[in-house]
Amino acid sequence: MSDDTNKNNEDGEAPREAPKTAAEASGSVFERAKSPTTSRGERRETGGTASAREIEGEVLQRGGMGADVPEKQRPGRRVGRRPLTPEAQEAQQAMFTRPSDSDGTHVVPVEAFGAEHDPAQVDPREDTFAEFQVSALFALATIAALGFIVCFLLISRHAAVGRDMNFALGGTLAASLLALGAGFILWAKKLLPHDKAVQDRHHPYSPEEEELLTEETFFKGVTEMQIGKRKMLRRTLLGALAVLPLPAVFLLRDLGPLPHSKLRHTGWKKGLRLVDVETKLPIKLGDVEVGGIVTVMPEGFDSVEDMALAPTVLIRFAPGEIRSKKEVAWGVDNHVAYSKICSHAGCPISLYEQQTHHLLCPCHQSTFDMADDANVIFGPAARRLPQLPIRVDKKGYFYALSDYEEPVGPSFWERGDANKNNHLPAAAEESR
Amino acid sequence: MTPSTVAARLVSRRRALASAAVIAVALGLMGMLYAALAPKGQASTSADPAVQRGQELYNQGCASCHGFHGEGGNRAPSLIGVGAAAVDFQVGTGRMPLQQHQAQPPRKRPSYSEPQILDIAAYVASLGGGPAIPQFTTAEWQKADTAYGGALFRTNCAQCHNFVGSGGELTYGKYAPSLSDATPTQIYEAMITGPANMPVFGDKQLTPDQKLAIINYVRTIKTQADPGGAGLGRIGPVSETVVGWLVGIGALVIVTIWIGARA
Amino acid sequence: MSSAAEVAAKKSLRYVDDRFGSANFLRRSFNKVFPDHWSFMLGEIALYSFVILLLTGTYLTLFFHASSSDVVYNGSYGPLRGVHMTDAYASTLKLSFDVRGGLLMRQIHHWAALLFVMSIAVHMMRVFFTGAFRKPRTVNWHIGVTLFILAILEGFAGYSLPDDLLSGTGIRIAYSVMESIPVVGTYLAYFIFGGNYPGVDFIPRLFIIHVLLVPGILLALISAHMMILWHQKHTDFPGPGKTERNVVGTPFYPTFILKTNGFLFMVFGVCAALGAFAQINPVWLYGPYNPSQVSAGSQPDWYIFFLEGSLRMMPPFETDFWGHTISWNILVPGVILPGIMFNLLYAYPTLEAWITKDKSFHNLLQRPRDVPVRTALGVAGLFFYGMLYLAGQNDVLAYTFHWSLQATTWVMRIVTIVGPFIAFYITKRWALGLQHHDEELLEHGIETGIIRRLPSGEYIEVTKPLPEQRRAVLAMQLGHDLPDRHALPSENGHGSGDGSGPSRPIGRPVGMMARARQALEGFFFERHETPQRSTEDEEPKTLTRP
Repeated sequence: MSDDTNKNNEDGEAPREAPKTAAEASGSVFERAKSPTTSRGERRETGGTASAREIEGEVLQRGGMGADVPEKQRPGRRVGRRPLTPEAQEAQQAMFTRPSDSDGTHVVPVEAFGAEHDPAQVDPREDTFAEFQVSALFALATIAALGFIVCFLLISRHAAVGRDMNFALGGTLAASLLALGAGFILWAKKLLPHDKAVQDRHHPYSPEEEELLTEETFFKGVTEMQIGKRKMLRRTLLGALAVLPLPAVFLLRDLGPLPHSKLRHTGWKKGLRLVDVETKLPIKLGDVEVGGIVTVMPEGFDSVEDMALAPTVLIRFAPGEIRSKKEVAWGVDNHVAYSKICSHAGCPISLYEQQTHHLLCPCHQSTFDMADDANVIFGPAARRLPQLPIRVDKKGYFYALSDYEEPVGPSFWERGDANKNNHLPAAAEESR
Repeated sequence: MTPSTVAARLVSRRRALASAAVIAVALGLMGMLYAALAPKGQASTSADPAVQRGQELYNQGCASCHGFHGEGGNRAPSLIGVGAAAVDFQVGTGRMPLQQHQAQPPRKRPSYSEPQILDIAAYVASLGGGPAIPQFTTAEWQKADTAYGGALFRTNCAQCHNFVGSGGELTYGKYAPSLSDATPTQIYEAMITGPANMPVFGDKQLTPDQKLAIINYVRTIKTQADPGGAGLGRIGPVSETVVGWLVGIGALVIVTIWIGARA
Repeated sequence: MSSAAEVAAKKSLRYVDDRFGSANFLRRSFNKVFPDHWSFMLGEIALYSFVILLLTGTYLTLFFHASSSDVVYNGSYGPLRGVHMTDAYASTLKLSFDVRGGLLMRQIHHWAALLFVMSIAVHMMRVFFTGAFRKPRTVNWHIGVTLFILAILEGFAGYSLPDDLLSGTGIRIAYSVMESIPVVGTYLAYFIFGGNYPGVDFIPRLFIIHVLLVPGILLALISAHMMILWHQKHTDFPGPGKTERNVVGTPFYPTFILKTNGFLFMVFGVCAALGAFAQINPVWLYGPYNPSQVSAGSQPDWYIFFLEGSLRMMPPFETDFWGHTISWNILVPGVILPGIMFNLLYAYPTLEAWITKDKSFHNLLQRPRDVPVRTALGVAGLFFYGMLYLAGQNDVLAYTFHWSLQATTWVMRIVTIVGPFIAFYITKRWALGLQHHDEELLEHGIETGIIRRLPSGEYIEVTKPLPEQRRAVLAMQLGHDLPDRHALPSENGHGSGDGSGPSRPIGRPVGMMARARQALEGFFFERHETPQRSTEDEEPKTLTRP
């Protein structure tokens, strides 16, 4: 080991000389990592005036105060962005133009960039302090991780709806991880040499002979298989390959049933009472105040699928507020029922404004005028909401005259133009 | 309070001496009272001092828009039949009197003291009908079923007021306000009176017990600690995203710059 | 290092080498050079977020029940006790309130998911604006775009799993988007959901997609992404001593590995801190999903904002014909628009290479100002995306700033269409202005601020020439050392489709495509005109295939 170090020192004395082998090059990296102060003499020798960072910073990260500002005006900086000394430039040039090692790597000491001041390599006290910093962070990570365990065991898990536990566990975990991470980064920044490494890039493509050889090999196989000539073989193979995926497609068939006409129907049927979605109690005439809105479902609704399409809003207007004759006819005594499922993307809409009679969808802001047969007045919805024809039975309960006359909810391919159906459903005619 | 109820009260006070003559005296007193107030040019129909005080306040602060008899006008709706609850809500939350015309009056510091508001409420109630100020105790709403209230809240309230009552936008500049400042009484009043564009939730649609359950849910959630840390306004992914960009990505970009910079 | 440890280390290296012959590979890997620049670490945020997602996600699967069966909640969160809900939601609550650290893991997982997609987006911007996607890294760009799309899908799937009111609303919209696809839409939706919405099959299916299928593909593609990066070596900005043929930076071992490990823990630490102190996705507040309920301000997670915004801004178009319906109001913003956007992302490197006839290999990056049109196109695209993003939260913006919702939407509709053009123009002018400044710097040197009076009475400003090294780099950045673009050899004669040879005189190109290409080339290369300077170069600065 000490031999290597000495050798390295010699290397340092004559830095223009490339390591002869890759092993030597990597060895030198290792050694420098171990004892960064060994190349001090070299630094003095090169005697550059700007650190590598300064050069790099100048060229790559020209910020507000770029090189345009004369260096004299630069406030209080020990190492300014000065051009490299001729010696440093020469050294760098030598490094970059040098033929690469067998693996294409060579390490350029930071001095080749004219570094005059490299904290890791200058002051042993700074070095010790940096080590202390990193160790402190690692120790903190340990303590925080132990703290995590202590908190886990000591804190009541339900204190303040579990908040205390979350704070304590998360806080200690975060502290531990951040300290560990910061420790690693500080280690790299403060204790490792800042040597630059230069590596050749390979051509992304292969030498031409390689390519030709590969092509040749490929076509040799093609010739041997005689795919071009053996037509029957080729066609049957293509046939097999074309048909083979079909079983997979068929396997997917039973993922779900076919829609058939299910999208056209909801849980509503003739004679079903309107029940409150929460209490499941039927709604009576007079239960809803003027300006009120209630979400209703068909009596006896049960399945989740009912919940998807059947939700309906029952709205009560003041007399004379409804402007659409059809809407009046399908409703009863200033009460009207409309699908709650938006005709745009199917969100349940019930942001009802009782003075303007706007019904707003919270998902995409389609706005419907409920006093005008749920006409769309704003937003992406292209269709009115379907109306549910309702009546009141002898006991005063609301019931549906039929299912919705058109598909509820968003449009789909098979829907067709079902929106023109504006006449009273047959059932409604009967009851009048 | 109508003349007949006042009369009835007077009658009941003199129940022992109930006779036609006494009724006649009472009616006579009524007439004198009426005569005493009539010269001011404003019809007062009540002997209740609260109503009288309320009327004074009303005439000063409300009548210019709502009319001297609560009949409403071009600028304001009629107050006949809105009830004491509506007054207590509107004036108690500072929405009335209006400071300026907006799409919707915002909540602010009330302009009147609590007794004054009750006086105005009594006067407006005397104009005719409407729901009274709901009376319930803290213990009553606190023992209501929170989970049930939550379900009712999500069905009836969350679509406008958001899932915890943080508020939400309505059409053309209107909005459903945040419920964080609303008192239990005000929440109840809002449900029974339907202020501005809010739908009315009558007692047959949501029973008083259900209303108390909703109130309990709103208050419980409001006072409950956020288990996961800062609540970020409790408005869902929008504020989480802002924190993600600014704190998450922001902090990590700073770390990358720190790593990239030489020691 | 004690000698015993050294011997042990040597022994292990030998052990591995005896079996895999790995010495050469390991040494080359140790020496792999990584350039230093902070922006090169943005992709690492994504990589490490993914690691965190795998770790925390695995923990979550130990407690989560991917089931739609109905249960009555009886856990320790009071305001939901006794409420009917799906097992998925109930197990999420149990995981949050009855498992110590469960809530923390859920929150870290969710924050890491947000950061994962965010860092991919930021990383993509870095790659785009510096031209890192150019040949030979085109395929890695394609993999990256695929990763971005998959990350969005994966995020949406995860957001949807707890079956709370917010995520259920999102699934409902996704179902409607599927339904809107012409011809096959309803079948597709029925197959995916196992019947009518919402069904009971969807959550288990989504779960396996979220925890196995998509993460598997992500893992494979991330590996490919990293291996290609490893093989091709990282790009770098031009700088002293940096050429197209070398890479200057930090060796992988030990410096880079320490830094990047530290960064892994920092990313994890930031996620943990967010999980500890900032609440995310409080499903207990949203309540269980119920198709008849909805909350004001229903938003998806951020990476879906752009879809949500396009759905919100779309005008109400729908066509009915021959008994069929096409709902453009969902199809365009929900399917066609994202399709176009992602395909443009895929196609951009090829398009640019086609327009510029650039067939050379690039290892040095460009500054945004060096390619004004690309930069301006990128900014215009980002502006468009940003408007969709904002429109996805228009109700929250309107509520917060007391705007009218309808007016907000209208303004956004207009700005979304007009804004990108303005953004393009401004960015291009800006980039050209910066270029102009650089040209002047190169031409006249640094202004010293000293005014000198000549004997003749004339005043001149004294400038100082740039240091030689900087001049060279600046010239490289401004492209002065590039051969005239028209003289770039067109590889194999079939690259551009116009059939012209390398030394073709610029004339009227034949064919529509060729003419379009030439028009686009003129558009792309409009730049600040300056006298061409020649800089002596020791080696060719661009790499083309011989």
